[in-house]
Amino acid sequence: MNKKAYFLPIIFFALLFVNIGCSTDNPKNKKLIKEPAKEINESEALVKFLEQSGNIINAKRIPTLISAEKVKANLKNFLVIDLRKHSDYVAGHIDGAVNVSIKDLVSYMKTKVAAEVYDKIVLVCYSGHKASFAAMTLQLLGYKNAYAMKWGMSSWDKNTASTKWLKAISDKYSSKLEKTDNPKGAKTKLPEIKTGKVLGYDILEERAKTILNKLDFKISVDKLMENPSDYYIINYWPDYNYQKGHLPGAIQYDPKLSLTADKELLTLPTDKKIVVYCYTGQNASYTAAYLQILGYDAYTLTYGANSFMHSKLTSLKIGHAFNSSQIKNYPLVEGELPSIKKEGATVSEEPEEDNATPIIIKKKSTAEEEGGC
Amino acid sequence: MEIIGHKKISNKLPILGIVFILIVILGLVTMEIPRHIYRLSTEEMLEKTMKHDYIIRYDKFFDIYHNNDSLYRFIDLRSAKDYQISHLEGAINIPISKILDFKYRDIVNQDEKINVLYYSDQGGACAPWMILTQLGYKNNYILGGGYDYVKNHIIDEYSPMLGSFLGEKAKYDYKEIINNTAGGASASSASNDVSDTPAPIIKKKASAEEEGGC
Repeated sequence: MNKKAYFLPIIFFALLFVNIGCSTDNPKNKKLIKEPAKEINESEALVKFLEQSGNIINAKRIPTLISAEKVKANLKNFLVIDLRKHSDYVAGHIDGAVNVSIKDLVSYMKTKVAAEVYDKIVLVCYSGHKASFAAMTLQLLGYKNAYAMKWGMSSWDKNTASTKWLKAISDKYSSKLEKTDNPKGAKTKLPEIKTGKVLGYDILEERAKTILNKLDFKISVDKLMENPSDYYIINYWPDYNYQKGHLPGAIQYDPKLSLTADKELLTLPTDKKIVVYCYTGQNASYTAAYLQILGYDAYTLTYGANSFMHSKLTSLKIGHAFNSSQIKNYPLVEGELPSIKKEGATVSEEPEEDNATPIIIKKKSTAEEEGGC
Repeated sequence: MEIIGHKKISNKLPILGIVFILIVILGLVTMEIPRHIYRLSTEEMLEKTMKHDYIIRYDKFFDIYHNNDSLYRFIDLRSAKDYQISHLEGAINIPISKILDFKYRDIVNQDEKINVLYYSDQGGACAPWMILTQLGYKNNYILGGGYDYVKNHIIDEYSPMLGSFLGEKAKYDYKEIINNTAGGASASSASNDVSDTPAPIIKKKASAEEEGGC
């Protein structure tokens, strides 16, 4: 009797402890999950990413070009990034513009700019090609407010126009234009790229840095016409303009429609240089940037149709011809640093030695004038 | 007498023992066992927090979301109402107030899926993440930027650089102000309008106020 009396509660007591032990969960039993390493096809991952992240190559807003007038009218809300040589920037730049080398652009945007603060981030170069190439890269990276100033500084400044756009326009191949429909290439694979990254965005960022560092995307019409068969020439116009006359051998691709994997992107060759041409070379720069990021050996025909059929752009009602009305000759600011808005600027007391037509506003250099402590 | 007394006590001992044990058992049964015990010390927690590897950045999120990666599971910490209005595809709704409920324990502590906790903003998911992590629960992460950022800048329109990852939008580019006041070279700058007319003389306004000193 005595033994039973002791024994039963002890068993009960022990069971209770066992029960308590079970009821308190022990998270330590769970293991940390490590994501298994994936083997990916970088080219496919990148195209998939680009097409899912807004399909920017075919977006309505592309090319994001903005006129010099609009830039001037909205300087307060825009960040102007001048991609030209530092010496040219110092000689005269848009008021408030910052001078950044295109090679540093991605890291500059990432680390030094609060991009969302500005309505637009306007990239500026001499003729609009480099700015367009860079603007597309930024667009793809997620800066949907990245713009390129149309015609570059040629539209802002007369001197730049005279050395760039006015010099480039010509009708030299007008007589060689053809109207035949050239067939697209057979479908092939995407070009191979190797960045060592796994995520679509990371691959894109690596590619963006690579193409901006390399910065080899321009070809002139003369170089192209030396041996046109060496190139896969893309006429990036709507079909109705293609029919009016195009470069010999050029193949028409519909803007904002054709360059996706399920459409005609795979008809582009991976073993041949691709030359894209448009009206001015600027939209083609956007396209070339996209194709280069994908790994294609793509180039922009500089100055586009303006460089070989300038007068026909008007006579055939194609449009987009550069003319002197596009040269606004707005004032420039001289100096090493971004100017301090209109209050901080004053006219040079000593006139420029050369007889430059634009009015150069010389910023005073003393710290005192710049305000601050 | 003594012998009789001794017998009486020894007869009562088992009963006393049983009563004593019953009291102990009753106490144990009625005792509230803490359901949630912090398994990590504050130092360990601080170390984990400093690593910043518990945040799923937008690039990773994009990959998970568009590939429907079954390894990951989204947990919506917002209210049931907000969840009903819209939520990430496949997300489970566990409002913050219920995150410690017994029925959700196996969801927030398990080793088959990686949980991605999200709230409207990134900060909202931080406190629940800290509690769960300090409890020793495993495989929980925070969605960088929070739901609003991800919805607006990743899913609806891909523009990760234009939304603020931290749920705040800068009103001014302070670098510009610093640049302008200190005369630095590299900071960004937005500019006011230049005078429309290319007048030969632009007079500098004299007041220090406009220059924005201290």
